[in-house]
Amino acid sequence: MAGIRIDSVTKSYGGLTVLKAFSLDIADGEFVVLVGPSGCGKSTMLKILAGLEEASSGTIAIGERDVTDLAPGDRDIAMVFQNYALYPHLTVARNMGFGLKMRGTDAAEIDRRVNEAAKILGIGHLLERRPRALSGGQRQRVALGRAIVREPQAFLMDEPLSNLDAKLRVHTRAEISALHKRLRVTTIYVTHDQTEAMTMADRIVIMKDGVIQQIASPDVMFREPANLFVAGFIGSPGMNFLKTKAQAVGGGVTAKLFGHDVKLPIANAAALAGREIVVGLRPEHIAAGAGQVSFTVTPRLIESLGSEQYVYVDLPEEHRRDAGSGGEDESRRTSLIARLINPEPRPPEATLTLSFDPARLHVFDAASGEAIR
Amino acid sequence: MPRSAFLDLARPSRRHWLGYLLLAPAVLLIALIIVYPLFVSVDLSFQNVNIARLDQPRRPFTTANYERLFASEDFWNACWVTFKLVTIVSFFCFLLGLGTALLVNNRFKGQALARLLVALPWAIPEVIAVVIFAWLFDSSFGLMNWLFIKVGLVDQTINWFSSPDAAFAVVCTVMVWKGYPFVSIMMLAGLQSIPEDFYNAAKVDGARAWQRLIHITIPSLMPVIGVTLVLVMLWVFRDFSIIYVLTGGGPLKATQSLSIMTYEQAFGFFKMGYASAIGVITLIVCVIASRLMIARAPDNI
Amino acid sequence: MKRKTTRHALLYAGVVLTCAILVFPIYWLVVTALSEPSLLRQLPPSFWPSEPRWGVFGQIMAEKPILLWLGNSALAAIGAVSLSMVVSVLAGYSLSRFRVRGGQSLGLFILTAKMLPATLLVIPLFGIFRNLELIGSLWSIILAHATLIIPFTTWMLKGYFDTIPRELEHAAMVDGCSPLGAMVRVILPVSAPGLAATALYGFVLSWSDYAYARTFLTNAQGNWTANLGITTMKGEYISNWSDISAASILVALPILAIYLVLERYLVGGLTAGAEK
Repeated sequence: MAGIRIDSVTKSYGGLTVLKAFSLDIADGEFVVLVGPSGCGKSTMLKILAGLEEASSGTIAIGERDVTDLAPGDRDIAMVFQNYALYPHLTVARNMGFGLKMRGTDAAEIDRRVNEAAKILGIGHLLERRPRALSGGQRQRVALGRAIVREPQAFLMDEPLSNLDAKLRVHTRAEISALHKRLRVTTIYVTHDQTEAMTMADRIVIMKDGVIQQIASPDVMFREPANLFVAGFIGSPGMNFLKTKAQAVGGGVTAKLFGHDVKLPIANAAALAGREIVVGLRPEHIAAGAGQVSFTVTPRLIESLGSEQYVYVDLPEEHRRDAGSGGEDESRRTSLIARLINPEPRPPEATLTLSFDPARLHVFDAASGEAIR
Repeated sequence: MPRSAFLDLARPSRRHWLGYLLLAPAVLLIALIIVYPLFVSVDLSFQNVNIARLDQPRRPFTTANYERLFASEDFWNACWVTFKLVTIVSFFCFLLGLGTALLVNNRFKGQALARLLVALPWAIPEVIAVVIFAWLFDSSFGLMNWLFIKVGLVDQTINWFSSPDAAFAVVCTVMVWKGYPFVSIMMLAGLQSIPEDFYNAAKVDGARAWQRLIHITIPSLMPVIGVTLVLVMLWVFRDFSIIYVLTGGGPLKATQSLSIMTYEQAFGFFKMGYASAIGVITLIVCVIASRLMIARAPDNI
Repeated sequence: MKRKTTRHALLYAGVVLTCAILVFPIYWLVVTALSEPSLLRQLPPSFWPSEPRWGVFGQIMAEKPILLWLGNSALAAIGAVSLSMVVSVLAGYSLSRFRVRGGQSLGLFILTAKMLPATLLVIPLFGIFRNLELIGSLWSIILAHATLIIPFTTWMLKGYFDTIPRELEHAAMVDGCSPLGAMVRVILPVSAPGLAATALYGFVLSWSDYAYARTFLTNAQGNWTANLGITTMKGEYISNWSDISAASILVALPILAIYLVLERYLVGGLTAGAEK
């Protein structure tokens, strides 16, 4: 086992740059999740790390060894693929033992390790079957098993759960976390699903358009998003954004929100006055009933999930951001979502009073999208 | 296992070398047995040569072959024969191929067997197909003469291979019989890729069977039809064995297509320069047709 | 309900009639082979011989060098297919997996090469083979058939490799294979059905050739292929259709057998080879 050091890795195809100066230090035994929308470069980074693609520039070291231009097989890593990539012509046991066989491990040792891994994953009874005779969940386990038997320096996982149905995905997610706790092998996990990132990662690397947006633990990522993109990506539903203007009042800064002058939780207030800002408010930080800052709305739609309710409200025109500013879909730009826990049943189309605590507000620069603290 | 860093094709920076390495044998072989002969052929067409001899010095450049060709009645006759063949055979291949494909695309017991039988002529080598039909159309004891008289179409036996029109008809028959299975196979593949939902939606909308054929089946098949049509036309255009073995181009050059004329000039009269000139003309037609097809192919490279 | 039954009956009648007409020539070939030659000169013809002479196949093999011809055809086909498969597997894999400069143009050229008329290539090949003193030898046929087969097999194989996920090689390489090792140990075994179908298709192409055999082998009787042999029989035995038919059946049999095996793959194979 070893740490991994990625130093300003860049990847471009012709004139198209898909990865810009990616640098990341991963500690030994750490579970790092690369997350971002499709096309953000996360899978490319993983392939470069595995040696399946060539980096245009930059260096990669695993342990203390420079592996930048080493063959995938010489890097001592194991990989789990989205479509599992099990060898269809080999039995489960041979699938799992293939890597060891390629390294010249003797048959008895391969047997021992395959059986051991099979026991951990509970697939001992499948060893003589072929992949096509397995269910999706079973294939997924075999793919994990194939990675485990190698006892590599690091696991690389490329969206390993996205081909599973929702229920199995949650289950397997917990299992991979448990496996990581048990084996303590450095793991780099790629996904587009922020829930997977939040639940599994020691640290999350969030990417967009080939550029790292923020590297942080899930808690920090949630509480202190570095910019509008991160704030919108992490959390479900994503953060609500309201365009407004900052005003200096006394020692602090206020912004007009739903007709109230609301004091913003910002340390460096002086520089902000008069600037266009975007205020972020998480759906779960909006409560029903009156509070510190209250406003009355007519919901456009109420979705009830039993234990919680999503209330969709049209944003007043003055709070809507310009089209195309965030890259997300139109409805998020024009509406506000409140997530009410243990709600009372309420008739749709009745007016409703909502409130929030101004300390919970996030503030971003409207032009750059960077967080202001 | 330590490997030499330079020759280690597994390294990310070296891997694309393998792409070239793997292509090399094919490129070399294709260059030797296809590209080089093509050049020789074009070169021959501009020389006054009888028998191609590569060990002799090149004859002086001349366009005489082409001049003779365009002035030759035989050449224009061959063009006309080829055009008739391509049109008639392609048309009937399509009629029969599409018809059989639609027929066996229905669900019924024994469908697998019917599909097997319907395309069976595909599996008969051309020369054997010629043997079969030469006997069926035999002038003295052939089954077709007997059948035609029996049905009352004619009142005396036809000498199929000495009448220009009859010989042409027999050539067309053999080619259609040999060619339609390909259309059938392609159309079946096309039909099977049309989603069932299209038909269900049309049924819900009250479309009749023939309306479904006109408005759903044929339009959905259009891309496959285009490609198949070009392939069939090219096949007829190029075909040598069927005509050569069946009629040799006769009688009175009634079945002498461009392919047959090329071959006759080259290996019957040993005028290889002249023959190459005809060959180059056919090559140009083939290249244009195949480019047209590639441009229209449904999922291009 | 009644309408449905009627439609079903019509459908069956249509299918049976169509199949009967289209397959009849093949049936007639068999009938002709099994009939006494004298019987064939009787009208009206009989549609099944009263005493099928099953011995005709043994007899024709004794009288004519059919086995030699079949053997030559097989040698030529095996040679041409082996040669073509080696280069096509490598090239098809490269075209499917690597972004090679000029790869696209090569693909286009190969596609066009599929459409080349044999009567065009046969002239320069004749000159070249004469120079190499290959005329009359099976090698001339093997090389000439390779010009027919390589374009087909390369495209069919590229199409087949395209259907195999790249992740399989990636997994194999992470597991310690070289790129070539990943191809040999993983992709080729996985492609076995596609390789077999492609090779059989190449076999059919070679077996069906007449033009090249007629040109290069006519003066070398010992190397005649089956198709060439049959046509010479047609020339000399103008009246003995029975024997020719029997010989023809023997020649067609391997291709028929391949067709039965291949029918399921044919749809995919032909269309992949054709559309791309």
